Amino acid sequence: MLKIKHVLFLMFGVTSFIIFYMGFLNYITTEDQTMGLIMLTFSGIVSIGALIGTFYVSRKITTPIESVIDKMNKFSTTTNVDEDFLPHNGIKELHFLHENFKNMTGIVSDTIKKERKVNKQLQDMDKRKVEFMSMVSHELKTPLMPILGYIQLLKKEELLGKLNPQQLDAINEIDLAITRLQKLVQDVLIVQKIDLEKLTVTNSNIDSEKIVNTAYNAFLPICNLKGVKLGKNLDANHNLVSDPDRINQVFSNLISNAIEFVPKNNPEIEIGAYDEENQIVFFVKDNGAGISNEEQKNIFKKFYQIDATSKRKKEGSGLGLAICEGIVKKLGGKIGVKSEIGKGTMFYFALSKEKIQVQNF
Amino acid sequence: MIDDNEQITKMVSTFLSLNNHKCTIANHAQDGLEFMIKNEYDAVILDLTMPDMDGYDILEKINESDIRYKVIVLTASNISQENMEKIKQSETKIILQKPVDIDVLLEKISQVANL
Ligand SMILES: Nc1ncnc2c1ncn2[C@@H]1O[C@H](COP(=O)(O)OP(=O)(O)OP(=O)(O)O)[C@@H](O)[C@H]1O
Ligand SMILES: [Mg+2]
Repeated sequence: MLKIKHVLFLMFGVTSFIIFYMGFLNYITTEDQTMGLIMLTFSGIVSIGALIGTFYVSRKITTPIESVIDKMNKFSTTTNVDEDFLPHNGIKELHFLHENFKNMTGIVSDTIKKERKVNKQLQDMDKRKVEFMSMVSHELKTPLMPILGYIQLLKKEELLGKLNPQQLDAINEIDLAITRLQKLVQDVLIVQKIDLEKLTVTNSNIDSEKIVNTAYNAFLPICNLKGVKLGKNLDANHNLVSDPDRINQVFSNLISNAIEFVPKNNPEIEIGAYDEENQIVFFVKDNGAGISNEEQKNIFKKFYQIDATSKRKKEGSGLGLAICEGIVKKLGGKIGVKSEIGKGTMFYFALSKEKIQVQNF
Repeated sequence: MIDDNEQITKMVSTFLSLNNHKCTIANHAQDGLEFMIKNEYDAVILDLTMPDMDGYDILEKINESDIRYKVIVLTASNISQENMEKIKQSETKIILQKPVDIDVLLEKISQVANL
């Protein structure tokens, strides 16, 4: 690329040389010596004048342009610009260039300042939300401890003596209510964590068989108690890298749901895992009432419960599936449901076999 | 047991004494620290979030001194990554989350204190 300075010098240099050369040619070829000399001197003066003029003009134009370029460079790296701009040098276009650049930088740096301020405010708000969440979490969990402790104590015949049937009934009712409250507190807090993107997950080498077995063994007693047939279906053992506790949490939520929605006659649940295109799919199948297509879109929403009071006592809070979805997403997987009214329901979640990139905060 | 919540310390110490264990209560971290320096205990149950001096301060002070204790952290707070490092470098043997099942608490105490 050429510099203005050099172009000017090239142009005027060549012109001056031609003028001078013509004067010189005229001088050595002409018969009129005096006239030739006058013409030579004249052409000499003109070409020197042109050179000096070029030098002056080039300084006057290029120096301020270079300074603007300089400032632009500085501005684009630091977004700062010195207040003292070049003094007015009498060239109109340059004056406008300067003025416009000055205005532009002013607007840009104002915008940047505003954006930084808003950003800072957002960060502060985020921080306050997180602080608030952990405070609420602490304040909600703390009073649960003595309540649960005393309930357990009162139920220990060997320590505090035998309660009469009505007292025992009262304690059992309190126990039931507080256990529900405890679950609700836990669920609300985990939903909060998911919303604030503060849910943490770990990564370890695990296998599908172990995960399914853990869930199976945990739920077998309660299924037996409720007369629900619990089946297990594993095609093979698959390794994957993920968070076993979080997977177990999802599995437990899905199985708990299934237990609540199976029919009274021949209730059946099947859990398992299979391999599908680089993913392990875990599933929980039941032979319950099923979920309509319309409702399938809603059930993953927070606090959403299908309004069919006949189907069961309303005990939950509608957070279970929202939590499942949040966890599975955090694990880099996908959760879904396949169901038809009257034909049972299958919930599944698919996790990649390969290690996923988790960001913990 | 060092915990600023008096209902929790009362409940736990009642439960422990019914199980024939002696339990000293400190509802202020400063008192707890003094007890730890003056006396000897099989185990210390320590809350983390407390006014003035908190559980982390106590763990740090104990670390700096030459007294050694088997500590069971019992907290209702989330422990940040950074604080987890502090705990790892302390005498803490186990971390329990409130509300903890009192039978589990008793079992862990026996384990940690080798009773
Ligand atoms: N296996 C299932 N069969 C039929 N309906 C289901 C099944 N699982 C979930 N649902 C429907 O989806 C709704 C939302 O489920 P979700 O687990 O989110 O909440 P919940 O079980 O009602 O309460 P929570 O899980 O918070 O205790 C349920 O209320 C129910 O209507
Ligand atoms: Mg549920």
